[in-house]
Amino acid sequence: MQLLTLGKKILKEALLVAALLVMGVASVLGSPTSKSVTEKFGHFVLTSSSLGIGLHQNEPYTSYVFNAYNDYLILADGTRLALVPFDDTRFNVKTAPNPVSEKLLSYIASYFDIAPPSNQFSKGYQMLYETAKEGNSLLVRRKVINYPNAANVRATGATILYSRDDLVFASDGTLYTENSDSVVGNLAKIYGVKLVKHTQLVRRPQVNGGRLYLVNPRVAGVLVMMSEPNQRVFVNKDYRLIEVEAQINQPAETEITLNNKILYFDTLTEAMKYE
Amino acid sequence: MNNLILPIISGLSFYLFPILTGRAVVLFLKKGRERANILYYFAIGGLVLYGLMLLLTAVISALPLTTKPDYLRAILVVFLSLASLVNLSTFKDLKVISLKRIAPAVLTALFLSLAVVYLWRRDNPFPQLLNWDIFEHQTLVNYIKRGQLHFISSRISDTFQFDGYSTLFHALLSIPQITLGVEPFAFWWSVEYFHLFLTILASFLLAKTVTRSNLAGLLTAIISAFVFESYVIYSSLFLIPQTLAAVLSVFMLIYVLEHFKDKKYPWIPLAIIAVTIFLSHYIIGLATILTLSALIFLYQSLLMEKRLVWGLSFIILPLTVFALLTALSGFLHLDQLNSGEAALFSYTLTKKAEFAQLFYGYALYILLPVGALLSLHLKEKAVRILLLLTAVILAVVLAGIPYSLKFYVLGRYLTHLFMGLGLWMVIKSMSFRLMKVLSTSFIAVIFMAVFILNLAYWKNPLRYQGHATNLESMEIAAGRFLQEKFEASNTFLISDPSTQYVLEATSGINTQGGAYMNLDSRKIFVEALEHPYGDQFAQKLTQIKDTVNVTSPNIYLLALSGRFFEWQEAKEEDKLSLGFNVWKPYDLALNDLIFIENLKKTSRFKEVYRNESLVILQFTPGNNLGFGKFL
Repeated sequence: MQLLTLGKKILKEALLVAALLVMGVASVLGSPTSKSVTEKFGHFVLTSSSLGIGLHQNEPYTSYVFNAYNDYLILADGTRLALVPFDDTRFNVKTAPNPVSEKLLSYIASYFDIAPPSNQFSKGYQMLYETAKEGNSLLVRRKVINYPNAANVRATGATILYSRDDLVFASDGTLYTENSDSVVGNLAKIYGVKLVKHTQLVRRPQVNGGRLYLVNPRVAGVLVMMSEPNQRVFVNKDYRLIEVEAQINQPAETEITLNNKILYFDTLTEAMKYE
Repeated sequence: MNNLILPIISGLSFYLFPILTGRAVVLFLKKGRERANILYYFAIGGLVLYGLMLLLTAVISALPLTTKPDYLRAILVVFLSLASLVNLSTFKDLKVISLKRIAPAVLTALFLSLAVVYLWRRDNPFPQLLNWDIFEHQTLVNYIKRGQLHFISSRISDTFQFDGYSTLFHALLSIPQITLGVEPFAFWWSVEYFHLFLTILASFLLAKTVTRSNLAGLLTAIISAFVFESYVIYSSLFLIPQTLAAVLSVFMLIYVLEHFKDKKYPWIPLAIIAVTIFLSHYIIGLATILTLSALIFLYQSLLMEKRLVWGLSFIILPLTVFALLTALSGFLHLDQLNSGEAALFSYTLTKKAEFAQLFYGYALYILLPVGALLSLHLKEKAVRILLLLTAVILAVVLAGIPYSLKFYVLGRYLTHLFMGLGLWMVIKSMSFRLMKVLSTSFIAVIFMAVFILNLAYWKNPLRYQGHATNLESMEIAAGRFLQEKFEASNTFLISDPSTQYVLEATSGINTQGGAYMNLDSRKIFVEALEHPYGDQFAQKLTQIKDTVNVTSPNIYLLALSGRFFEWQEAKEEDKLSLGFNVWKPYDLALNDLIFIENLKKTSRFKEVYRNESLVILQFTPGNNLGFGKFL
């Protein structure tokens, strides 16, 4: 009899707890969430969305996005292949499929800045974009995993699409974007930075030096791309892409990694003073 | 930490000064031991201090502008010192509320409020702010600090176009700022914490009064703490007239409920409290008076003891209220109120459902019906009456009238009461204490998660340098500069509505309407900006005129901020709309700096201040180039 009573008690308790659990979980599931997991980076917001990893400020003016669509690999015979070829199959690329619970946890974690945005593109092989931020420095690491024919890859390139009115220039003052004379003149007047336009004939120049400055005249803040010693940086004028290319001296069986380091500064003056 | 001490004291003083004054007045009028009633003291003290401020500002109005603040400060300090002395000298006579009775409520409110503040302010450091309405209230406080006070807010500043409340709230806000000399936004950062504490305390005590259970109080307090109505309502985290009126209303409701048993209602204190609430916010005050009157009437009446009567009332009354109000709104064209601003606050049922989902997830849809059903098993008559009143208030909230959502500022306390009661009835029926504790903790975690998701969603558009804020330090610094250099002169500042709004509050320098710049002024400004480098630009700007302070300015300032340039990019219909604001700060970009340099080339504009967020130019109107006086 006593056992029966205890059994009834436990059953009742279990039912009540189950009811509370269902109500509680259902409550949270109903909460709308922001479009993407975000993290602050100076005046910019670092986000992860179906488009990739982005640095945004006052869209549509600035939106620097890392994704697999323009990234590429260079094979031993010099063939350049897009990671995600621009054909009908690009619509089959899956990006960052997370179950709802993972998304909710990510949003909560990102509120505390403990969930650096990341993104994964999948098309048989995986292209993983991870971020790590420290102070005004951001590292965007791209890994290509399980790429067929990885052993034949000799170089890899990560790309960032820049905006039409961006000024993209190197530390030696060479301006690679095709901005008007008045904008270039105004930059000199306001910040004392004199730029010389690169010849228009070369459509994909290699950047001199290890730094590339990105200034958008419509927003505050300056981004500086810092290349590693084994990297070459190109400005692809026709497609408005900054291409960071790294040689692969020891071909990997399964994983091809490339790092992009970006610094943020509030003003161009601060950026130019940085050693 | 030292920087926080004065703001904390001043924030507490917003409540303490009226309480001390009220108790001193009660002791003066009534000899012998008195029954401690903090709400009554606050109400009577608030009215006395308001009356004193009205009288003082009228008396000193003949004095020169520069000495008025000193006289105000001196008299207030003397008055409050006297009130404090009276309180101290009679401290031993104070009949305090039993610690055993109040400690659970106070400790719960303290713990929960600190948890909420940690989450709310983690990316909003001191003294940045997240309450857009603060600027208009601080603008009024700035006038009061200079000795200008009127019962009607729109007679003081054209930032106010619709007089939905008296200036009682602003007078009470001004007193700690005048007497303690605290930096205004530091004061606001602090006083909002104490408001949050009181909203949680009110919820706890309401549930406890109804059920006599600390667990019911705790569960209701958890819901109250972690539900933030982040559009229109703002109950717990923003201190504005409607939220102050609402929390006072809930304490008044508790006061009434406590007298149900003896059926002797202290009418004079209730009337005084009602007047205070009414002066804090006319609509919420009226709603409070109607609700409490209905509560008392229904409790006295035998009608509510009949289940059928109650059941029919529960269905018919809310439906009738909903239908009547919706029809009335269309018939009377209420969306034209407040210069058309009311239309922006008319929401469809779908939109209201979206808001509910943002504030609660699905918790409201699940816990409110469950709580309402389960609470019917409680024997207390007051519970059934409160449930009926909750349904009527929710009907008002859902009705198709402008500003109907604002009634939820009051409705939320009753809604949370029934959500809490439902949870309480489930958890209290558990046999094992450990399960009760775990279940309560689980509820707290759930509501905390909903709160964080709500905050993340709401704060997203307000990101500035990684913080979520409506105001940043550069704007405060600019305000300080303007105050020091131009406050004594008859200066008029022009900019986009949002910059005007912020700078008028931070500096005290007059603008045309702040964020509520009227349509004529907006049109003039937009037209002028079509030819900013022309000879007529400055002249055209001077056509913008304040509608309250009509004296022609001696000095004109033009503020070109990151906000201004953001506003410039907007569509014309947005620029002309009261509903469009640049809610967050922006720094100046290269194009903005180029515009400013080009404008300075015209001799009419001289730079007087600059930082990374804004540049302020002084300009002279008139046809003769190079003439005019620059400071």
